[in-house]
Amino acid sequence: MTIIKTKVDVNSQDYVDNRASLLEKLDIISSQMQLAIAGGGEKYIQRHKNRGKLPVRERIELLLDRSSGFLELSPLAAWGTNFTVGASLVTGIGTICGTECLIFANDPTVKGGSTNPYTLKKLARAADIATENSLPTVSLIESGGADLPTQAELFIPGGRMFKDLTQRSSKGLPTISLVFGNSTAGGAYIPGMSDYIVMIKNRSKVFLGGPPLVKMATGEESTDEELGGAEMHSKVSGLSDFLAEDEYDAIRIGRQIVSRLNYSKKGISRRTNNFKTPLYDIDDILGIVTKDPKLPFDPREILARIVDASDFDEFKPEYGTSLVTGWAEICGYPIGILANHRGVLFNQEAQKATQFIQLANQINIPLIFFQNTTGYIVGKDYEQSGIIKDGAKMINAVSNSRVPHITIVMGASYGAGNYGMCGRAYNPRFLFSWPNAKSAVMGKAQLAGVMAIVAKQSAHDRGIPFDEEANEVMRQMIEDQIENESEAMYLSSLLYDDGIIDPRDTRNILALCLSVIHNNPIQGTLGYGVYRM
Amino acid sequence: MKKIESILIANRGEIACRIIKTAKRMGIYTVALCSTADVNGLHAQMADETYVMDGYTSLETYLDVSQIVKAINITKVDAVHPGYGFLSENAEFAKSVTDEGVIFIGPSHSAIKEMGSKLNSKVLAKQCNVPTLQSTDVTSFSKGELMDSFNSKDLPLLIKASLGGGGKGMRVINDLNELVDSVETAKREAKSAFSDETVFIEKYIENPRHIEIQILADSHDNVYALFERECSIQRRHQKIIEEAPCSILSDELRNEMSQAAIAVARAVNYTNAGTVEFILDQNNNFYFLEMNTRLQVEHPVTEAITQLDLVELQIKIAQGEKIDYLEINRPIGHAIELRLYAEDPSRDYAPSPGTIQTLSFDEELVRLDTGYLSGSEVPSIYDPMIAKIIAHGTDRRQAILKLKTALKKSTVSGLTTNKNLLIGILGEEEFNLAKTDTFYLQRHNLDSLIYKPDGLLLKDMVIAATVVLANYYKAGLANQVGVSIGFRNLRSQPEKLVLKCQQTLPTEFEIEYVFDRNDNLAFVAVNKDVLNSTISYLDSSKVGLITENLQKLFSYEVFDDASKIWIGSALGDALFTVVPTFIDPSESVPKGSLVAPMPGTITKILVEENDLVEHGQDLVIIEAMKMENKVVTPLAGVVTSVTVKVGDQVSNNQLLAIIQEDE
Repeated sequence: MTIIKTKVDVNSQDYVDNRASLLEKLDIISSQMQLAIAGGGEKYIQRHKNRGKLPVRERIELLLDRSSGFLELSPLAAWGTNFTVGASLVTGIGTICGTECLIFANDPTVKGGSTNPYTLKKLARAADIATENSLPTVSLIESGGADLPTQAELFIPGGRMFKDLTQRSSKGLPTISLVFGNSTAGGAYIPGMSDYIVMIKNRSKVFLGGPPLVKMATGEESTDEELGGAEMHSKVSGLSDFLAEDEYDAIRIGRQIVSRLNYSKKGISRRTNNFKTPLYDIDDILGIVTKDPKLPFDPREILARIVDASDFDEFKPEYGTSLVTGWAEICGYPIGILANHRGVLFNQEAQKATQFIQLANQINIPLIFFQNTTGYIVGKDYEQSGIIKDGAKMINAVSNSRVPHITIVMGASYGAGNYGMCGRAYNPRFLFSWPNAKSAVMGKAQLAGVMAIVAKQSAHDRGIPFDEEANEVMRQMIEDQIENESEAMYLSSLLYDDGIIDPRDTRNILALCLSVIHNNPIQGTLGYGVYRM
Repeated sequence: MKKIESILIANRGEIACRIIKTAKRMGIYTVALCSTADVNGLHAQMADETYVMDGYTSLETYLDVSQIVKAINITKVDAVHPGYGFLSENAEFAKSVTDEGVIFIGPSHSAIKEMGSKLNSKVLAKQCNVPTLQSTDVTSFSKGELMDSFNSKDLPLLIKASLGGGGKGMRVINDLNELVDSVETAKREAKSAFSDETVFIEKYIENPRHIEIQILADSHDNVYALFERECSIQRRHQKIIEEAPCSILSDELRNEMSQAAIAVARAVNYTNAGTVEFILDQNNNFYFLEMNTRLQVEHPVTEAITQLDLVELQIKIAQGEKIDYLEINRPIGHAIELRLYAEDPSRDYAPSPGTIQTLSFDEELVRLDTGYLSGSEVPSIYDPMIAKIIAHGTDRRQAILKLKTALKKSTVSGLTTNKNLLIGILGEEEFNLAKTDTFYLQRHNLDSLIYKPDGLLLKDMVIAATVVLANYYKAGLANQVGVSIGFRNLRSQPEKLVLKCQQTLPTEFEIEYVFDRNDNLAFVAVNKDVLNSTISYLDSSKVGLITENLQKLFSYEVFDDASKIWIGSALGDALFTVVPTFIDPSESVPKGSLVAPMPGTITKILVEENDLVEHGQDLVIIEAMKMENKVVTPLAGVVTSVTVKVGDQVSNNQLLAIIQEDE
């Protein structure tokens, strides 16, 4: 037991500046997230309500247990594209009648809830989370099907949605579909592949082809209700298992179904129920995170505000001090932590991380990576002392580790450091970014500088003069592009994280994720790839 | 006469407890009686020994003389105290006790017998020159007989239907010329309303006050009048507020009435404690009503203003002691007693038995006489009185203030009571001006009389309930332990909760709320009114709020699977019901459903299917707590179904019938 002692001076100018800067970023992100909540805009939401329908987030709120938390995933999907922020879909994890469930819900106010390429990516990510964490799924369906202009990007990969559903079913992870409106054509298979289907009187419409298409195909005259109405499916086709009176009733039945799933968590329980909250105010994080990404900050100050009782037992504190490793608990769940201190990873840090990851696997403890890294060190001395070999060891360990990982990008995430510290490609169970996070192969200045050096070399090789002026313009363009592409929102839009979070929510979100993770037993590995010694 | 060293208390509830307390203080061994329903009753626990009678109902137990005599023989007590009610005024019982050679703490059985007949006691009073109210059965009188029987001095007169009640079938006569026609009309009305044309005529007393004189007499010819009590505030002819002294009584009148009471007592050689009841009209004329030959429910107000222990004196008198030292010239201060009942005033005082979750009063402020503890059940087979609350002040105003404060701060949770009606009366202007009479409750609009927390206090209580429930729900979640209440990384809307409360205005509340990371309130709105409110304290029974800079502490109790929450404050309390978010359509009650207002037994069904019913018509009679409770239809229409039959035991809110409303 080691209580972290804080050295933060909340009255210092740095603290005040840092805080102001991060609050500004939070404001920008919050305004963009409001776009996701706004969905199709006031006009369409009003039209939806006028039809006696509930907005998508209200449906979800009703579905959840009172006072329980809801972790919304990928809210900024499709940000900066021509599609509405949030990609006409809400996904997240919440508890329903005491069972943690993955919830996805179409937003019918956004182009009728139609699916675009970002919707598909977001849904696929949610499906992965359900599968990896063994969560039942509750889907709230009301979708006009594929966004036809982008059908080429959708049709073929979209098939995965149905395969995922039935494969989860085969693993004992049921899907409950509540059909609030249209779910036609290909979309009809979403409820169709579900284990339980609830349809709403005079509302749900589920068919492969509507009246006009049937008329074109076979000449048959038919109505919506005959082809796919809730009563027809509940009484004739048997596609629907429950006939609900209205939206509230459908949600009530959905909750009732979940309550009968006989679901229990397979993971070990928390170590203690009587954990203490951190000794320091989590609000301080805003002033601790440095405004300038080039300036490192002490991750222990962050951990002191996130882990139980600010109690963090550091492992190898005197060795490889650019990386902090150690044990702690969050809401009673034991965890191992790897956190970048000074951005660069040297040989010692890579070795330390490798050993620590193996130790966590040996005793089945999940790992949390706090990224703020500029990557592995370069230079003659380091290459000669085998930084590649040591970096490879770390990447080997993180790749083959079988305990769940959660990654928080709390600053920079550059180069192979992104890999070694369990970036997206290394399949952490969850990955969240703080608003100041930046990811790229390297920093914008370095990248632009490298490109200039390469161009100069190339001009020299070809014997042509190097245009300094043009190069400067080019350099600025590259810097701007890299800057934009490294921004958290850009990466979040592409589903390279599970969402940008308010740093002050980190403890809540980690607690929620750890709870989710423990739906499966935590089982580390003792087998790794061959370590290059 | 032998000294009393052991007493059997032939009663239950608060009065048994009260007698045991004094007896114990006097060093007397106490034996209680109890039915099988009362084995865990407070009186059975307080006594040194308890005789458990066979049976459950009053008739099988507390009214069964043979079982009690058996108990006397087994426990070999020196004396029996009958309390009030049950067998206390049963001459046969008193005789059975003395026949066993055991002292009956009360008057002689002959005195009980003489006063037991109302007719006989009135004759006695008349003989003592005490004014009485005569009732004349005029049903079969001819015109001539009628005109001969009454003269203008008797005016105004009241014609009363024998089976009438609650003002029904009553007519006031101010002019003798109207007499004959009015009697005929009254007979016709009585016949159609009650199927019995019997009518009486008596003197009509406008705004009568109920005044009674406490008598104490020993067997050595000392008879004392221990001042009066006013018991005008009544419901269903039962007293609910009693006070001493009566604030409008002059010393002369007090003396006159006391002498009248002493005369009546002496006429029957009365011994022990007794009460002579009078009616007092607006012109300070008093009329003898009856004599109660026992300790009264309301005796504590007399104890307060005389500083005497009446039970102690009863025991002393019963063992033959001479009481020649009671010379109290004036009442000391002013005392008021409230009767707290398990009943719902807004549903015609329907009994509401149940379990008292918590019963707590500030006993430095008031005297609490009760037979119940927190957690006790108020059984539906006995009287629904929970407790008597008595305050003693230097004057009436102080007594009222003490009671009002004590009541508002008290905790009486788990069942519906008349507490807020009592608070309402204490705050009402006429009551404060002592303009009280036996029609007080009939004169006032009950709905506006009943105290209702409102304004900011009510909103605060609603917020307190919300905070408690949100924490309760959070604690019930097996997952997400340690996550803040209602955590959202992207908040689109506040959480919502709908609460209902019968005793407040408004009665329904929609609360929107958001908790912050530290589980404090970040936002709260009650019926769209946004309030600046934070939690300053929270433990397992209390919640503190700072709303608009004012800090208040509330007590709370959550029960019935968190479907109900009780909130107590220094300014009153409220019981909130959580309105469920979802209703199973198969469980929703059809329109026009009539449900049981209380648990009980169906004793009569007055309609059949397909009957046409009018607004306010009686449909079903439910017997509960010795009372017949009529269930009336709030709608006019056709009875489409009756779902109970005579003899059925029904639970609260059970469906009785469905009425299809007229278009």
